[in-house]
Amino acid sequence: MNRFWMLFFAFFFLSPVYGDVLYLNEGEEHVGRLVSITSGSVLFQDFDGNNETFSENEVAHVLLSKIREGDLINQVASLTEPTIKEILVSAPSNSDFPQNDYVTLFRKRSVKFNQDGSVFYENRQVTKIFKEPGLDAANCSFYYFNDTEKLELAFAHTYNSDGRIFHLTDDALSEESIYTGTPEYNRLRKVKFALKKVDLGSVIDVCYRVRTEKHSALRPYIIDTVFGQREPILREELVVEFPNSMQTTVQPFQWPASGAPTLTTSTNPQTGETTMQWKFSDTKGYIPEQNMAATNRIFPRVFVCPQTTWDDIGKQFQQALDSAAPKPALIEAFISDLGIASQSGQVATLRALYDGIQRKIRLIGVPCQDYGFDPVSTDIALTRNYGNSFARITLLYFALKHLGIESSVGFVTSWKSGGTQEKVTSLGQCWEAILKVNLDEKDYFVCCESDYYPFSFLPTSYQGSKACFLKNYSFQFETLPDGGSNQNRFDRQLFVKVSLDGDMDVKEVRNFRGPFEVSLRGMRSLKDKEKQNFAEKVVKRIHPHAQLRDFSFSNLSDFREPVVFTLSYLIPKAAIKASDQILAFRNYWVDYSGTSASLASRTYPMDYWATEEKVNTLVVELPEGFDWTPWDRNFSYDCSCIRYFSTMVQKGRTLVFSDLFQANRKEYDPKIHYPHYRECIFTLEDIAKQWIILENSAGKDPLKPGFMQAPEPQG
Amino acid sequence: MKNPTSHFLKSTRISVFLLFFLFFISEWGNAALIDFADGKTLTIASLSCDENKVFGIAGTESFSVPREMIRDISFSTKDREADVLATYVSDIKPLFEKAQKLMGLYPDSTSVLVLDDGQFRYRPDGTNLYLYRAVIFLAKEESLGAAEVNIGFEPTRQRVRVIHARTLNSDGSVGVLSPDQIKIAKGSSGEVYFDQYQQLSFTIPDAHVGGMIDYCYELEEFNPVDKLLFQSHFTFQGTDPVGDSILRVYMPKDVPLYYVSPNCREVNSKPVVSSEKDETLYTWKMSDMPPIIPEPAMPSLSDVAPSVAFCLQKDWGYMFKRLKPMFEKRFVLTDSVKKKVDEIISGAKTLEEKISKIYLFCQKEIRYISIKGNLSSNQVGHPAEDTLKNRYGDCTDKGMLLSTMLKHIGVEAYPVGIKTNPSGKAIRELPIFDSDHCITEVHLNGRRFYLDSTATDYRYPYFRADDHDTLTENAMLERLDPVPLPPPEDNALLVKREISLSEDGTARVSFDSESNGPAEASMRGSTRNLKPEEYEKSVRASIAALTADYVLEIATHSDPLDFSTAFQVKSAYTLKKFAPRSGRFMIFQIPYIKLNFPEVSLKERKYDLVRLTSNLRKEDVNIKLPQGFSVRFLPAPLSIKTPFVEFDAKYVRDSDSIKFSSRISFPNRIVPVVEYKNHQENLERIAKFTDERIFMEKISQIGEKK
Repeated sequence: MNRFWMLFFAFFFLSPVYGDVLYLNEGEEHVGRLVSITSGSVLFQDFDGNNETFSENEVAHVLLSKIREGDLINQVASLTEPTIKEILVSAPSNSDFPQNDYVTLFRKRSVKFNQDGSVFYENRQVTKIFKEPGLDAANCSFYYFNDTEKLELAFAHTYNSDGRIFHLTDDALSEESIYTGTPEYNRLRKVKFALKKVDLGSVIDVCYRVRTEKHSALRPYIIDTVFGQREPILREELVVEFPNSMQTTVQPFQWPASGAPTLTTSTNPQTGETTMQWKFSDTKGYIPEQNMAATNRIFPRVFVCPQTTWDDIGKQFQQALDSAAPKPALIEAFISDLGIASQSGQVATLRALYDGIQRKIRLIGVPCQDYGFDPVSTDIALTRNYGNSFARITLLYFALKHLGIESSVGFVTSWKSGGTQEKVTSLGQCWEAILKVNLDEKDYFVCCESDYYPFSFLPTSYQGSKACFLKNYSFQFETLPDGGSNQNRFDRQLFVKVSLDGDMDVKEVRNFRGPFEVSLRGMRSLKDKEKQNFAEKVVKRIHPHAQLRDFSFSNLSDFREPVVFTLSYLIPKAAIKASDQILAFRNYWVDYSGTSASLASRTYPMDYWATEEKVNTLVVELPEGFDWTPWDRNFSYDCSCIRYFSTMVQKGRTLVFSDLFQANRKEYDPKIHYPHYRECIFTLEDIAKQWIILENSAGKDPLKPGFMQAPEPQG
Repeated sequence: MKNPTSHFLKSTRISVFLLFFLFFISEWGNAALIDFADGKTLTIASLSCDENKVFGIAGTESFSVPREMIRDISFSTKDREADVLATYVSDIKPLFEKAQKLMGLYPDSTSVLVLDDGQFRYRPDGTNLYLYRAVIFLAKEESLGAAEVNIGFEPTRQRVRVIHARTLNSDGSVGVLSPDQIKIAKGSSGEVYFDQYQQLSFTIPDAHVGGMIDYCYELEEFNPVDKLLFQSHFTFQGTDPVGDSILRVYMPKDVPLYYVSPNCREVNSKPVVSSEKDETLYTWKMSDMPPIIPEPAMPSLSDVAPSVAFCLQKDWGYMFKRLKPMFEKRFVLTDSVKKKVDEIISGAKTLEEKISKIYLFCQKEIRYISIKGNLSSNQVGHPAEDTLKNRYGDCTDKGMLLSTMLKHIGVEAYPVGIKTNPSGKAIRELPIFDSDHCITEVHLNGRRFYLDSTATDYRYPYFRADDHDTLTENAMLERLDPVPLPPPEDNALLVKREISLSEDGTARVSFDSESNGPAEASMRGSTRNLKPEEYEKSVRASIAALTADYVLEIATHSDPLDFSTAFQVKSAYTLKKFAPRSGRFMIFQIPYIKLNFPEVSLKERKYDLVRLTSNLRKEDVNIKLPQGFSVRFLPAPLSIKTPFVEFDAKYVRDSDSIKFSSRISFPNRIVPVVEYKNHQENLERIAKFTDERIFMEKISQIGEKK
């Protein structure tokens, strides 16, 4: 303990601190200080220093508030710690940052790797609140793993502009389990608390420490830091200390030529420790942009983790995987129940196993990051019928192995966050498990994070991302295939008959593939009436007068086929009758919006959600005597990033419209690619605005120049 | 088995000192349960403490620990007995038969609640016991999550015991939960909620489609906060079919039970009353209940599902008597509260201005944090002084603070409980805890009105929409009163647009709006969270929904933190080639006037249609025609007036312009299902009207082809 904190504790016994809460059996509660419990009597002192005695029989319980570092100093003038004194003296005023909700005055994160393998982490943040949204900074939460880590909330103070200091009390602190229902996965804990007396102009000062007793390749320790946030940060420090005998991976990304954090490295020959310190300051913050790429792909980022090799990690993982193997009788019974023997061919076997696991093993939503990379025994999934995505992957791996089919377990993180980095030798950067199976010279990638993913569908977040797979006791890296028109696809066919009075009789077929089918497959749990309500809502979104006649879904449990949703409906008076000679209507099924291209220019790259293809085909049967008035323009756009084609032709009594939208790129550089995107979106929304005007050419009663107003509706 | 106490004492390195036990014993009190800061717990036979240390006797050892190692000392918590789970099942066959019968009736169900059996027993000593058994048939994969069971309880007052938890298979076999899989922990809740509840959790193994899960637990309230406030509310129907739903209440013979049975049919509304030894048994049973199919904008489930609420009193007298002193104790105008009020109202001239300033202070400067721990904080809140000091609180705390502050300026006001309107109609026929929110009732110049300081952006005298048309419980005045539904004019958006069209379809739009009530609060809230650049970007995104090819000239708003006047928004922009041309025709729709009513998407409904509150939207638009164009077609005017919607809109042609005006209001919150067809038809007419276009035609020049 350093001298500063010793001074704090010296104060402790001089001044009472009021944060205990006494709860009476009869429903009342008192806030103050528990003075003593003797001979069955509880002596409690309130805020004003008045003592009250209760019998233990009257008291349900007493919540004791912990006295934390600095809790006995109640005036800013009494502070002695140099860091906070200096920060408070030089803190800016609201007028210096008129647009900001808050400013981070100081943030220091210190990581100390110890010789015994433990790691000590301290995080201190001092924030000045300027505007009401900034008050949320006074509600904090931190996470840790309860079996390997100890979290200590060192202090949480509020410094008010009138010079008073307020401290956290434990009635506004809670330690919670995140996954209580499934004990096998219940490692993660959250500590949350609310600081007291936070006003606009207050400064809040929070410090917590985590001691990680042990970590391993499969319960990895990793620091992943991004420098830069929406609100300004005046002083940021990241300090990493490690013994020289311990190799540490320090891997920077997106390091700009100017404005990057400054790094100082020093070695202390006496302690044999190296210290790396990054310092950073950004007085502006950034203004978020629509569909902006993740900050960890734009701003300076540093990974810090104990140095190892993918070979070492691979060996440890292989060992853990082997020890999670199921009892032969259990896996045999599971495979036998699925009727795998009747499948012909390895691909069919793989698919049948995947379908069976998805159906029989209830998914527990605990990602590897919230649990670890050492698999839970496969017997648990087989005997209890539940498991997280990793447990499902592990079960699939063992089932395939049992049947003599080789596969590789791997891990992946999202494309948006930059994918798995080979230079960073830690599984800690990964989110989830994935399985790779090579059959008939084709790679199949299997994810089990949703019950509604079709076989070998890669979630869009992993498409194009880098993953690592276990092979020969090591991890090997591979970029996963992008989605494109095969995986992420939506097709729609419409047959519309327009009557002379403007009614439309519509038959619509929607084909969903990949990500589009996931939400619809979830509808298999709905009752028939709920599905009908859904279909009625869908057609009303197309037109307020649309009346559903019929609808159907393909078998939503059949993952071999795309989801097909068919609708039949009538839209009375869908076409406006502007005169006896003119019928006009909008293409209700092409409803593109320009929102995503609202910015004329951008500062940061734009992310498009996935590569994809969408196709619409509309066949309109025209009323007798009416012909389409052509648009006299072409609605198409084509570049390597993004394509849109449309055609509209009248053939006899039918008008045929078709269009195709294809996104081939996911990241749009603000200067090079975003203008392409924007131009394409202009084209899309131009066509969405376009009306289809039909003129009666047969009658040729010349249009009377002049005005017509529709008659007032009768009835 | 290892002695857990010894293990604990060693592992936590507490200084253990053997004896002189008899010397200390006279100083020590009753048994207690200690929660340590590191999450461990210890039951001790006797305990004492001073400012620095806690002393105890555990087993045969006495010890002392520094106070900072302890988080909680409980004198009432009872140890949980080790779970011994029953394995014998006598009723598998009839349960499966019942499940099959219901699946035959409702084959598309995800699951069937075959048995839903709740038994309450009020004991002569005022404690009570709740025994619950659920048997669920799992019909689809999506129902497997039912195997994960969480039961919340307050350990200093309640104790949970799992009687059985198992999977039932159609072949008669049973899969039983292992007791070591039952865990107790503090479950996770929202960032701003703090309470004393714990959660007992388990997952029944081997749950599978076609099987059933069957669990039963006992929740004993051994230390009720008030022995006369025994009460509960039991619902008999849900979104999946229910086989047998049974409520049994055992009462001592000399204690009467009062009940209400909302939404129950006459035949089910009264219990079967029987006599069993020293007890009277009240039984309600409903069988073969169909699933409730959700509809858009339907009433809360509590307003449609049959239920029974019961308690020991026939009126609110006892409840008010119990809560009133707690209110009065907290409703104290201390010097610091007075001082703060004086500071807040400084400069305010009228009483209304003063109320307005205090209302804003409680909304904006008291952060929402909910800390619940006992009857007083649950129902009444913390003292006004504490909330002011902490600068945080929940609805009860804010309601208390606002009322207390208003008292200082001579305004009579009270915190009152309500059940917010999305949660359904509160039971007020009996004294049941059925409020989920607290607001402030103000009495001024013979008028009674309401304010809600739990919101953040409401200008006086407006208040949150979900408080409208509810029922209050005012313990201080011992009254139950309705909160009226404000008129639509109190939730209004008034819009003005000037539009100038060019020959190529380009439209220059100048937009001004003013709002009040919930509409205004929502706009203030969304704008104050944005920096000017971010606000501009949000306006751009909104305009780009019309066309991405635009030029934004102005995007401003009045100061969202200036509550002296209505909130105003102003923008001006040019939409390039916005009105599509098709040959000589130009087609134009006024931006943003299109209205959609997803709440009337269903052909038929079973339930009333419910909206949050009344509202009004008024548009006045002036459109200047492009040079060389004449109006070819204008939509016909539309006027609708019913008790549920009023709409009046028309296009009027002028020499070189069109004037459009519309007014839509929803004067009532609830449209009865019998009125649905008519209401749907009206809203669809309005939706279609607002989606219609103006057609313009280029005037032919001599020699020009049409």
